[in-house]
Amino acid sequence: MAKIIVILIVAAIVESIGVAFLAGGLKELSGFKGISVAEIGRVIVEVATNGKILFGVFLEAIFFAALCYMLSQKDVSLIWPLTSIGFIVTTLAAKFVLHEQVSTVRWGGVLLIALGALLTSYSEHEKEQAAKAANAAPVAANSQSQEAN
Amino acid sequence: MLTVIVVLFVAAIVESIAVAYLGGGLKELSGIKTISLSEIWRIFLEIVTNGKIMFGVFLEALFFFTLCYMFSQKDVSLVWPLTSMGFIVTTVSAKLILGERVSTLRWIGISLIAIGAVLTSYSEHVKEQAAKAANLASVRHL
Repeated sequence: MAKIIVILIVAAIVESIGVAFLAGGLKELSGFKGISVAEIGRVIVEVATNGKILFGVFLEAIFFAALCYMLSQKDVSLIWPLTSIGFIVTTLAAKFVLHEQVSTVRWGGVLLIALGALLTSYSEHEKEQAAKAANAAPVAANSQSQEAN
Repeated sequence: MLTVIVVLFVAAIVESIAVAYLGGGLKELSGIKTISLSEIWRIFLEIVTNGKIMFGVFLEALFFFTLCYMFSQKDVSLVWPLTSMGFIVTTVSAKLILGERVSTLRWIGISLIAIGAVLTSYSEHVKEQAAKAANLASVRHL
């Protein structure tokens, strides 16, 4: 579980940088002037030659690969909500890296996410414990019946 | 604004189904046994021939294009908070499509996350709006 949390945090950092570059690059595009094959071709070339967009897509692809790995290991209902750790990462970056002013509402949101992430991860711990207990029970029952024999 | 909300809602549903199929398909993979080129190739083939994974990737791509469209129309700070409802929609998908058991504790956790995500990202939107208003006021003074 600790390994998953570390991957999650790294993936969240990569994704937040990716989104920033992607959004910045997309705003630089000149937009469609008409609907024609030539115009679509022109916009595709504009997208494919925009460094910010390409870097953003590259980072998003890394995030996606990390997500796929995590989804192959654990429940969707565990991993997906935990990607919200990204909001905590970006808020901490805004405060301590960019020295932005972070409002009380935003800190409140971060606190709720952290609390929610804690409960969600704990629910996985409980589930694993229950599964272990369920596995152990038939084994114990078997060994008892063998002793009886 | 209404169009953006409708597009976002549809996008959230599309993404939640995508994640559920991806998760389901990825769990079917046999896993890497050794680290060699032939093994990586074998896994690659296993992935591209897995219908669930391919369907998930297709829906993710669809979601990604929708997101790009919205980013080009509206501020990131407005679009991002609204994608938070995806946390709840995805959990519903995981329950319905994959049959995952979601405990009450997990539901409470996910709800807190969704509310927190909305607050966190919405506060950014408020901040940007305030900055815009301040800029406008200073222009008027000139």
